Amino acid sequence: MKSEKPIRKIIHIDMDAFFAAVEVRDHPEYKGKPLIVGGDPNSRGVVATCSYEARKYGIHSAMASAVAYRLCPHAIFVHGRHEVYSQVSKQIRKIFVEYSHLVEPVSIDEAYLDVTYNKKGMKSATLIAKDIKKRIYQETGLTASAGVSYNMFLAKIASDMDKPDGLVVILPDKAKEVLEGLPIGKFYGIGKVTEKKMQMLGIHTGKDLKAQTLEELVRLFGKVGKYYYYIVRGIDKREVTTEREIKSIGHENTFAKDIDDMHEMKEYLEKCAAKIEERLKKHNVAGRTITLKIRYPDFYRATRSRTILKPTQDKEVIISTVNSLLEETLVKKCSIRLLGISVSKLEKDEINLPYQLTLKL
Amino acid sequence: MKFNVHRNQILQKVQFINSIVPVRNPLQILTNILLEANSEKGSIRLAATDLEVSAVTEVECNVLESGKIAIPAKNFTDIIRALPDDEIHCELDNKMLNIKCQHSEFSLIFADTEDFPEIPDREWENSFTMDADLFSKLVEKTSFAVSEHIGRPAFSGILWELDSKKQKMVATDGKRLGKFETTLNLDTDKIDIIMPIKGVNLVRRIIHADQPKIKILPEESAISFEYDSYKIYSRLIEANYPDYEAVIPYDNSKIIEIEVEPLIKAIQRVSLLASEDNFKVVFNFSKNQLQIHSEDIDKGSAEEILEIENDFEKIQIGFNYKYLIEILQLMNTNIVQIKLENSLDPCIFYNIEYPEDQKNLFLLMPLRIANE
Repeated sequence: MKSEKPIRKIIHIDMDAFFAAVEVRDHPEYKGKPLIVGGDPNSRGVVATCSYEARKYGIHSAMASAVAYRLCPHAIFVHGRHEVYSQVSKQIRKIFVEYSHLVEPVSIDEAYLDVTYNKKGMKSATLIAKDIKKRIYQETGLTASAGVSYNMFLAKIASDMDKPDGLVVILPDKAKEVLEGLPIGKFYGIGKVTEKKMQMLGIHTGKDLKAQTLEELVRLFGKVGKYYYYIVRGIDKREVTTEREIKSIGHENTFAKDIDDMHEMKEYLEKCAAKIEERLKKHNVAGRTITLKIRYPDFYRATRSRTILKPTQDKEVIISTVNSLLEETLVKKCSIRLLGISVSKLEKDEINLPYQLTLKL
Repeated sequence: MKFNVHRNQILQKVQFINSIVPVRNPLQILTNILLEANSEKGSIRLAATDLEVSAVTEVECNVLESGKIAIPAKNFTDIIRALPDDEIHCELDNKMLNIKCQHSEFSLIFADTEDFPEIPDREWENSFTMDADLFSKLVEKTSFAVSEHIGRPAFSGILWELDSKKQKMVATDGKRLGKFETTLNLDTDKIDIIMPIKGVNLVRRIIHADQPKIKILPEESAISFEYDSYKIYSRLIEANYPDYEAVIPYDNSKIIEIEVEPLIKAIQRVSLLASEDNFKVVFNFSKNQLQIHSEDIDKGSAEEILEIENDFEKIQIGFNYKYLIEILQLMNTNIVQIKLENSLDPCIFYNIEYPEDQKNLFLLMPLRIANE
């Protein structure tokens, strides 16, 4: 029998018209007026964000500023101040991590939080969301909309349902109703083109989408059809993952007893390399600089590095580099107390690069 | 030192001995061939070593004066190769080796033999002889899997387990594995050694149809071969060979038999548009059909469909096509039996046309396909 996982509690926080809101906060004279952050109307620039007042004129982000100007000639156009926005973004992230370890920032003004097991020990995700909204307002003077549900997709839908300054909860027993009633264009992941195609196929709402079989959707939309099939049923297994940029991956050990046997050292280094390979692959990165770290019994430390031409994840490459680095140290003459390898200058491997599997020998 | 030898009598042997000479970063003295003329025996002896592998051969010829020098391998080989097919006269003259043939004359600087490592002959009493072709075959069908990296010493050689009744060679680099077992009828003790690839590949090079038997002498830390006029000595790899049997999934449940030639051709065609970064081709098995597919973001995609007989549900599995083609070509069979389980576990290949007493298995780990 499968072990029952508790129903997850996911919050999606989305700042309301973020750039525009920051500008309004810092320039109270813009308040209540159509405000556009982005390129000049007479440039080739586009709208980065606009205030809710501007949205009433049909203006939206990514629209050419020139077009926005035609729709609303009296709108205020300002250039973005990205340092300020990222400063604010950091402020709100700081608030998020007070509540949960599992925070996944999606962009500068948006993040998912998994609060199933939160730091405050609070039972109600709704109360957490309320709390967070309040804290954001107190500390930044800005409003955010929050969506609460049992998976990321539904939380995202929820946060969008009552903007600005909204808080919408989609409980498991309400999900079906919400999803069935949702206009097709509101499904996250269904863009303008797909929306059009669906409309033409007579798929206007979640209910229509749900009526399609998996085979049919895959036939019509390819691989992503499978995604549509599941999300409309409220199934989204993605997990909130903290994506911290990793600078290096290493492994080391201080030995209980100083060792002087080359064989033993090499054996340990091989284990290290295998662990590192595993972690590089897990994080989908490959590294170019391989460093051997040694500490001798007198605490004198030695590190030897080599940078190779092509980023690698391969333990064989790591170990052969380390073996030659070993030659540059005193290990043949001295015993050592610590030994380790690290791989740095990491590069993101192409998304999910295929990789050669190896036997567990 | 003074001898006369016909160019064609010596050329092949010089070239062979020259191939032992280490190319990368050698000790200066090892860039030489040890050349020894013996007037009593009426032969010259050529030897070279890279300290791991040594080889010695003799050429019968007219020796007028004995002597021993270390001659620069590259220059000596190049000269012999370039000379016309005629008698060569070699003679020491004023600290140089004088080489004359027809109208050509060379004076080649040589080195002292003092620093040249000794290559002592072995006590061959404990040796055994076996079928040279069979030995060569076992090496051929396993050596492809030997690792080029030196990270794990055991992986850089071929494991040879042998007793009087049977033998087995195995090589793996963790991604691929080759195993060949045969029955035997020999009078020998058990051996269980790891042979570096260089030595056994050299042995394979000299095996020819005229001499069916090879003499082999396994020792504590070395193995020696005597064949024709050659003696090859190789150090052994001192390491524990990993428990390879534990990772061979003999009971993989999805079994297909496919004609090899069309399969290779199909993979070769599809691989034309495979990525040069990972050499990925994807096999999509479905009922009675195998679709082979490749794609590359910069090049496009290719696909080919083969009709097969199978009775299992859909499986998708990725391979490095270079590894796969190498294995299929090495199998040297009309029909390959492929046993697989899923897209992440090892896939095994059998040659089912071999006689009962020869078992040859190839194993290949898949390429994990993206987005899984």
